[in-house]
Amino acid sequence: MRRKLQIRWLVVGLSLLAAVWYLWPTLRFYSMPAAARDELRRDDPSAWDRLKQGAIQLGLDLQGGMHLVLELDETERSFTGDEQSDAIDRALEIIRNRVDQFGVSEPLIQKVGDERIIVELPGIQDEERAKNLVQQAAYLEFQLVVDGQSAIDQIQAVDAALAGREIQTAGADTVAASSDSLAPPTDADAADPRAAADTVAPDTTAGRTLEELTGVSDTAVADTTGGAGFAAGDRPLSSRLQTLPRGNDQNDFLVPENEVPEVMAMLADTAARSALQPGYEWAWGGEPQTFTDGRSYKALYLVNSEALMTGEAVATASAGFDPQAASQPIVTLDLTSEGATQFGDVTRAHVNQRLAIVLDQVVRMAPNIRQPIMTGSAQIEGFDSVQEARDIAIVLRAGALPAPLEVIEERTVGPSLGADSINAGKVAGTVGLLMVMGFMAFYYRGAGLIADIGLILNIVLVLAALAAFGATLTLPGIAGLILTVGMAVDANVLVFERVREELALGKTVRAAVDAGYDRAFVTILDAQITTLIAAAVLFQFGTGPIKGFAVVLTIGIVCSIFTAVFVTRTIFDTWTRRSSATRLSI
Amino acid sequence: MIWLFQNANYPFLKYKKWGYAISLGLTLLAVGVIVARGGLRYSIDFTGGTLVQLKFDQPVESQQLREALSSMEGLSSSEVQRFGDPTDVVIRAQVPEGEEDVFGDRIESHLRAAPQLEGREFEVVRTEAVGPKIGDELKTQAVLAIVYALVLILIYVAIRFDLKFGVAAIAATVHDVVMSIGIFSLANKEISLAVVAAFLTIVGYSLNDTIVVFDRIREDLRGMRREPYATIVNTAVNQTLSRTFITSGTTLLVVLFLYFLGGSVIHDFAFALIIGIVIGTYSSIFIAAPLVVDWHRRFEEGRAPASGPGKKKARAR
Repeated sequence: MRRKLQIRWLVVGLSLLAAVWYLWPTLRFYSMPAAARDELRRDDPSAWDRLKQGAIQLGLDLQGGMHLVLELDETERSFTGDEQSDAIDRALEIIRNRVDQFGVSEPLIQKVGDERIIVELPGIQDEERAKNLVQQAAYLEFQLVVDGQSAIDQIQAVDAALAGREIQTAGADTVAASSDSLAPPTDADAADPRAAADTVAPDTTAGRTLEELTGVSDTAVADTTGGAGFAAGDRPLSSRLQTLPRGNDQNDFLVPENEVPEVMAMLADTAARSALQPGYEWAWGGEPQTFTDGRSYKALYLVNSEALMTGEAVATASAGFDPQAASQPIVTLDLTSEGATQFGDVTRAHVNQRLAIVLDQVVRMAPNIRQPIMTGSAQIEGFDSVQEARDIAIVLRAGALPAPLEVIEERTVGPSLGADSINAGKVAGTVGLLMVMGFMAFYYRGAGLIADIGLILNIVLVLAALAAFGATLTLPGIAGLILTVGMAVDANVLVFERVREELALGKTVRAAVDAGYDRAFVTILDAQITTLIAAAVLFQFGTGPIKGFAVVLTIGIVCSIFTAVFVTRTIFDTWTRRSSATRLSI
Repeated sequence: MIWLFQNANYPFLKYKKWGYAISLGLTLLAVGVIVARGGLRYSIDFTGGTLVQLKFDQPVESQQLREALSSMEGLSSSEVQRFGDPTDVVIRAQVPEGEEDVFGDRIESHLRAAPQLEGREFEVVRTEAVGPKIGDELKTQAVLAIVYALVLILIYVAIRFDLKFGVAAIAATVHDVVMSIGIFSLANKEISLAVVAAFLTIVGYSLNDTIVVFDRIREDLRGMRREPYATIVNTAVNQTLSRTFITSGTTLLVVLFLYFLGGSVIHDFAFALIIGIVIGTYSSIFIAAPLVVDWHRRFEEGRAPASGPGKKKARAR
């Protein structure tokens, strides 16, 4: 008997040792001042990694960050089963690449089923930016701009097709919405920079005013006196366009911002589409620019549908500043050797034509080709900031997604809310624990104190198990830990009530304790297994935070059986055997 | 020695009609409340939509925010609620489909520019955006999860005890879940993912209580063969009464602290647990145990002597 007891103590001691071993990194990591953490990260990255890996991970809801669920947007093209799974795999790889280059510590990028990707970015500050980076299709195309009389002919053809008709406005929203999803409404979509810089930027002195421009356009296509109504006029399209001459018989067409949805609806109209010469398509510029008349305009281009080159020609992309205008952020594209040849051919064949650089169906810029470019590099301008240029360079480097991704779920938590939650959880947990311990000691006296030891050991073991399994502690997980405190004493309550009954029947202390533990054990198992079943289902069902709850609950139940039955009984047995006790404080 | 219910011998089964009546009445009331309110109130987890939680630098009136939001385009409906501290508010918005994820930012910039909030500083501490597709899926999954949990537990209890105990346990648990949902609806609280998780926990917890009682019934059936079935069950309920109260008490205690001190994010979750613990304790005494007796009376009495719950004897001890 004595020997058996020794083995039991050995098991208790070993589990305590293991717990301390696994909890050590957590204690060290979370007690470190921020400065010391930074120092360690800088001076010894591998030690830092080991420490961080060993410590209990906090969920996004506690440390702050962003959780995204993405799905392939199939509005443009749909995928068959195999294609879809392949597309998701490629998308996953590309997103991983982008996020790595973006520099997020410990991102989680995961495929769910065959159609979704989960991206978790802890501690993200600029959510919008991160989201664009992940979501952007980054499909780059070089398309020729249709200029001169050809463009005017097409506009007139569309005018003729739509003249005097009601335009289906129903389409307007969907067109606008789909263009939104193709090019996420990022401020990255700046309009053609040269338009702003050279001619009509609000603060420019050299620029021509819009009045002058409309003077020019009187003879061409624009008619600013067009009717106000949606179906008005003989020239529904051209009456809504302003022209911005670029020399060489090249014109940008500008649409007042408030009329953009109408024009989108017109261009989407079946008649308007069939009036357009096959092989041509419309392409919009990015964010509207404010011109000298105080109004905002969005640029519209007529381009050749066929792309002369795509992003596949790009070997690498880097952000920097324009050597000519040092404050201008640019992205330099270095082309592959094939791409360089291709680009040389294209530029040689189309001198004095405009080449639109179209990223995710938004025209970033449409420069005139002055001479063949044989250097194998190209530049994109027109970014609001270096940061934006840097992000575009990242997505171009990592490559295009097989299709745009749609965000179907997004959850972000700021770091301050997470910290508040941790603190509130700590307070609630500590107070709850003390109250339960107090009650047990009050109601069961000495036996209650033994149960309290088991309870504390239980919490230590649960936390150690979380660290050992690399599980993530979430806010519901903290709730699970607190709930475990309440439920863990259940096993002891069952035992103690039983021991009391046995004592009341007149059994000796030792017999009563033995009978109490033996009889209660089956009940404890039966009762806890139902909770385990519920926790298992919960784990299957839940998303991140709730999974965290299920994990803690499961570990808590298993540990509580060990601490409340095995550990407390070991203490009891030692006590009753050593002191040949005739009375039991219970 | 302090003893909560020493040698308790309350005639619980005598009042079982009352228990059934109260439970039936309350369940009908719960269903009535849900129907009267036009169905359950689901959070954006299930309906899809956008949620933004803001923290202001000083206490803010919800009314100001409502006015500021009323001028916002594209917002088909929105709801402003104080969230914990008087400086914190949550805005829930139904937005055009497909735009859930961009609306959080739009709401933020709209509010920053709103004249009603001039001079007020705030910080966005949480945003959630759920597409309607995900919401529908989650709804199905939530229902399935609860059903799976119930079925698995029914099987487990039927194997460990016998069918009658399994059915009684599940009936009591379904009762608990329906009642909890009803009280949630009555309190006009939203059903969110976390709340469903709490309901699932209730399923496990409420059974925990029930099974302790059943275990004692099984044991007493062996020791008290001569007594009528109902007496044995009643004795078992009384014998486990202290334990039932103490465990429920300690669990309720910690969950109450979680509710009052655990922070606003966890509030509804804790609320669901509180309801579940109270109802679960009640139902194991007044629903589960009497159902076992009634089932026995209806289907088993006269066929065989009251020889314990079926063939499976506990193999311990």
